[in-house]
Amino acid sequence: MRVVIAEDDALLREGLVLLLNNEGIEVVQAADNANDVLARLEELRPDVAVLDVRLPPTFTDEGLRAAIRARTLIPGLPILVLSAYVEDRYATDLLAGGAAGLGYLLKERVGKVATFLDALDRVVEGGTVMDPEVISQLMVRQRRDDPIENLTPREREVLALMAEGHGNTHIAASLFVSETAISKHIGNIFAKLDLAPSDSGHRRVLAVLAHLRAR
Amino acid sequence: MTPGLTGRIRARVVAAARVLPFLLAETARSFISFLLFSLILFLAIAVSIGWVALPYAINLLDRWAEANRRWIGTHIGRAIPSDHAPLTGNWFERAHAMLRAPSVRRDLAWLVGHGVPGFLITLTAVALPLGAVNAILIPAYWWVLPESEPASSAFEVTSWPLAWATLLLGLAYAAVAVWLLPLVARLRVWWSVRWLGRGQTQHLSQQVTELTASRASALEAHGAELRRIERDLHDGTQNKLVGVVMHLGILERSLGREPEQVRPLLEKAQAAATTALSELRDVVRSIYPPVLDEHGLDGAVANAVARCPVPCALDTDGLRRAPTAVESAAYFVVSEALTNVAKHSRAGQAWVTITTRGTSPDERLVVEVRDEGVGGAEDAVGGTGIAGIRRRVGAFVGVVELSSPDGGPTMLRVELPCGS
Repeated sequence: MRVVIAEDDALLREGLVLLLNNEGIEVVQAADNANDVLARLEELRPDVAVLDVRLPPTFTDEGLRAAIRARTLIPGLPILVLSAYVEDRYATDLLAGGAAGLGYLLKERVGKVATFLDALDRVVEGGTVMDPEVISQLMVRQRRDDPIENLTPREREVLALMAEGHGNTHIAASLFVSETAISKHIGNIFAKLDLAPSDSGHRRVLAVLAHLRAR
Repeated sequence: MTPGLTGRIRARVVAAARVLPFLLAETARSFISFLLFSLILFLAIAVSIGWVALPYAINLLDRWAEANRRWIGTHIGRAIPSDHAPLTGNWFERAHAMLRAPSVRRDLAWLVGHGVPGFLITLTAVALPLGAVNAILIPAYWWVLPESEPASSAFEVTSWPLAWATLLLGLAYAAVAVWLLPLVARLRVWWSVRWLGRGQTQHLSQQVTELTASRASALEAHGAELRRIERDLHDGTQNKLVGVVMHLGILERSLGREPEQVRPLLEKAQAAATTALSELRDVVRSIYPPVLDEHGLDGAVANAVARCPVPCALDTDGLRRAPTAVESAAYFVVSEALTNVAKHSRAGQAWVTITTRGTSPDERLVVEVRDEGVGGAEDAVGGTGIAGIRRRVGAFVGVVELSSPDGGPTMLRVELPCGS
């Protein structure tokens, strides 16, 4: 796997390179700003770009805008956006052009290396990765006559994992139940929320996120 | 007649005599007001050229009103607050401001009263004592005048009975003058204060406007300060802690595979945690240095100056208390500047001056840090100190001036509005 990185903090940038190299992943470019990454993107053709949200010069949302730019340069380029804090608003912006091959994670998730590498893999394979924090921000919003209220606690757990972009196998493993049971739960959830059933991972994420946001 | 009554009469005569010079001056001023009023009226009616010149005349009115505020203020012993700045800008801007400003309308109303009825009333009032003196003196000289040009007061005096009658008339004039003069003086003061002074409502609404503006700028400064703290925490502490977590993660993965890599990773994680702590401490101190609370701004700055390895002279003459946030920023400026002096200037001597300039609402804290070092602070590699100062001062809409040519000397001057 070949990775490009845009991260302005030197310690984190070098740490990321070290972490990925240790895992046998090649870092082809590690820049402290987004423009350098965008400039060489077509030349380097990485498998995935890991971008910090806040980058110079304005330290606001350069990373997000760079992600959108990068996807116009190389359509479908897998991108993992890292951020010191997550906003479901940012997630919305990021997913506006399609959710396939996109990830949005809190920076500190990098510390759980196995989880981080799994997320990276899923993004590269065209899946969607949403930080659990984003999903919980969306889930805690309460409203009366909310169809989510009709979900059983277990179904809500499944919904959250689904929204984070996990596939049935992973959901089944995390909840220690069979995949058949998960399929049944998902069927119930889609029925209760009036969503059209969808098998494709990232479409499912989009549908669920759209539903959560629309509440 | 009781002595009390004589006393009272004497007091009234003295009072009337006292206001006479004021009324004489007021008569002259009324006449000028009358001329100015005529001019403005003429310009307003004489459409084409008049309208072009009108703003200039209004400007004149503005200055005339200002002068009268001063005179009346001196007379009554308290200042009449002026409620508007002179009109500025080009013709259109002045004309626009003129049509909009309630103060101009008030000045015009004042001018009309001051120049027309005011002139007549005051003229009559000051004529009374003069007429009285004339009438009282007629018995003494009417007989020396030729019969063709007899002395005259209210009537021509041609005989002794008529002369004595003018004497009585003069006394009556004098009595009326004694009663009327202070009254007219009061009337004139009332009129000018009424129209030239800021009305109570106007005064309050002005205050509300000022307070709203200062509150808005205070909130703005507060918001900028919060953004600065958020930035400092995000860029520093938060990233360093992520670094700690990340290195611990790498370490965890290395434990089984490359045990020889563990120690450097541990050291990196520890170093990152230490940096995070020290940056966190800096942020906390920058929010409100505890030393400010304990020793005030002058004491806190004296401590910073004493800590500075470069000999440093401190002058805090004329320093007054300022809002906490402003003092905190001023302290930050001095400590950052002194850190720069110590690190980069290679100076043998530095000077710090802190003082308060102006009065509320333009009160400002002025901080100056000078050194006779090598200069070049503008493009210093580690210019984060200056950038931090600019950011901090910018949050208060303050001004940073830095002069640091190569070869020195370096002079940093910061002005922080204290708000009102």
